[in-house]
Amino acid sequence: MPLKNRHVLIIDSNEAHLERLSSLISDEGFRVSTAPEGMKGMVKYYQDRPDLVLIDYQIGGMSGVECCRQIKALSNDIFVPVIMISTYLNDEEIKTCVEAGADDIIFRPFATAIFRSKVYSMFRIADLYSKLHQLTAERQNDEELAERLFSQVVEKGNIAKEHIQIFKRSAKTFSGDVQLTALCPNGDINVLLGDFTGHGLSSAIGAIPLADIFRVMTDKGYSPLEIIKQINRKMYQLLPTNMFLALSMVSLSIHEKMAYIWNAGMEEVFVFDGDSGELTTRVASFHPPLGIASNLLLDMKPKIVPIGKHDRIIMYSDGIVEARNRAGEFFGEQRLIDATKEGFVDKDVTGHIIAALEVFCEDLPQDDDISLMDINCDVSLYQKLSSFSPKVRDEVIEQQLEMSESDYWNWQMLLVGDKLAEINPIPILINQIQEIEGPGEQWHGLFTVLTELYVNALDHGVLKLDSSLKSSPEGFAKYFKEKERRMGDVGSGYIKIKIQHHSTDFGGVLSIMIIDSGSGFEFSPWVDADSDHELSRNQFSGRGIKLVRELCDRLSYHDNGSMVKATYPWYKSLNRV
Amino acid sequence: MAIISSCVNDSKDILITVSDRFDFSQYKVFRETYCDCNVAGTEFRLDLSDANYMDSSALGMLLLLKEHADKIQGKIVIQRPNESINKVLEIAQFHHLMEIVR
Repeated sequence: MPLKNRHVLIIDSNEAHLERLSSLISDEGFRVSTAPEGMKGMVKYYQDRPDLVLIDYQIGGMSGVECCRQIKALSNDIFVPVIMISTYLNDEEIKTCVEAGADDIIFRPFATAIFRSKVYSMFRIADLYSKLHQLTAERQNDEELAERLFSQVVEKGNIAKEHIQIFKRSAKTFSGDVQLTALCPNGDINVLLGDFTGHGLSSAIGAIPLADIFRVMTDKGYSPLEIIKQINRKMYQLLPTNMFLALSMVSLSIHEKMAYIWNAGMEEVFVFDGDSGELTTRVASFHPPLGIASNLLLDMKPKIVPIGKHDRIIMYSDGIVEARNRAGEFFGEQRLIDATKEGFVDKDVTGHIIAALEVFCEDLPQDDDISLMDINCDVSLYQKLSSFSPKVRDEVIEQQLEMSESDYWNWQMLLVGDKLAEINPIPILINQIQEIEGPGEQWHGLFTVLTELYVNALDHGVLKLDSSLKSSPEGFAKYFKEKERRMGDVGSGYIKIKIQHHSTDFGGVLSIMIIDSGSGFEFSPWVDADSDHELSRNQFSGRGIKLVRELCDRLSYHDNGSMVKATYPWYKSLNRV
Repeated sequence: MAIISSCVNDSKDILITVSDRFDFSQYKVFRETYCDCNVAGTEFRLDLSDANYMDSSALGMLLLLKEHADKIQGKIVIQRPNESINKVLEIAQFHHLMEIVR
């Protein structure tokens, strides 16, 4: 506010004093109101909304101190300085003035120069207050925008909210934790917890592209590692040098009953055994946060953990362990672990953690966002989300009596040598099919079929890996290590994929043929009709082919196993059946 | 003063000592310790033995220092982080990015 327009209210019962103060103030070019006693002073305060109030300590009516107290109470969100004026005040009186909110005290007699300087310094302080007030309002606005962005745009598309519980409590300064879940075409579930550096709106810059990449790539069937690589590239482009994204990601493989866990700069991911309620696996950060370098710095091999029906995976950001109580202690890891264990007893893990946190922190404001993801590992819960029940599908197949030969297309791809190691053709193929036939959940099963058949052709055909290695969790890791080694030297190995599509009244039928350069492998136990027994939990191989058999109309191996043919029927809409 | 920088044994190396809290409030002072140093091959030694707290914006500040050091073919050595700071560095796996001497 320009100095000239300032308005000063003077409350003084002594007429001579009042006149002198008025003239001093008007000499500076300020507007003046006066009041001879306290009550009238309050009325003037209401009417004129002054920028500074001078009050004589010994006024009549309402006391000077009371006047000061009321003005301070009325001006709670703006700063109206009050200067008390008196000839003499003892220590006790000075104390009451200060407690009532007086900003300064001037003793009579005073030199004009001193009086003037006090008035101007009060205006300077008032200017600072108003600037601060404005900045705070702007920041609050930014933070509300960031929060809205996160909750409405970024996290709106999350799935399976009743099984993957998300708890978030934003700190006073919004810090930018992101929690995302999405469904893969093959029914797997990807879960991501991200924590951007910094606070406020700046930490929200990366959230929208992060959510976009995560959702789109999951939807198209890219592997979690490919998704992480892309997120890293995007964050590197987008974020300034001193900002990055810490991230942990869990991919629940519904068919394998395995959790694949990545951790780049986040607190440990916990896996709790459902039967004992004990914390059995901790996955600590094994890679720097994303967005620091253009490519991942290390090979990011996930921790692979078999999951049981009652197991829980807990992901959290540092805000929860760094939450403080009145004594300044951290909530810490142990309290989090204990609360989770207790949660198993009455099957409400999230509820127990939140309750423990609330008891610990009482109502204290926290420095950082608190966020937690609690993943129920019962894979049967997620099966409803994708695909369709086999029974309904069988009915559809039976009703597919005639095919109209006129509606036909085919597509093929040949990958040779190093290209096999570089390219995953399945997302490309699924994309093609969706381009031609339109998107829909009918492709979820197809994705599984193609992936299984392709991986078999690659692993057992081209790379000649022995699937019996996968008979234990340790072997599983060994298998992938060996696979990686052999991928480095594929030589002239190749895989050819051919797809033919016929439309039917109900949808269509895809004929799939995959040929590899290998010399075949022992496939009979997998496709033998009599071997249709329940696979035990620790048997990691062969599960894929069993699933393919369930999803396909026909499945046959030729040339000792180096050629596989499958027929996959699909329908446009369940409602039409 | 929370951040002090000095030359080491008349060499071109720079010792930066951070005490108390290493967080965003130190941004400007921290940056001033290295931004004018353009001598190729400078080694920036960051002594954290008197620091007791470090947040993620301080990690970001280390990345800025690294960017500067890389530009002049220099290097960074982080010395003697206390246990809680070391944990922050470990979670961020910063030993893949710079040398950390306990």
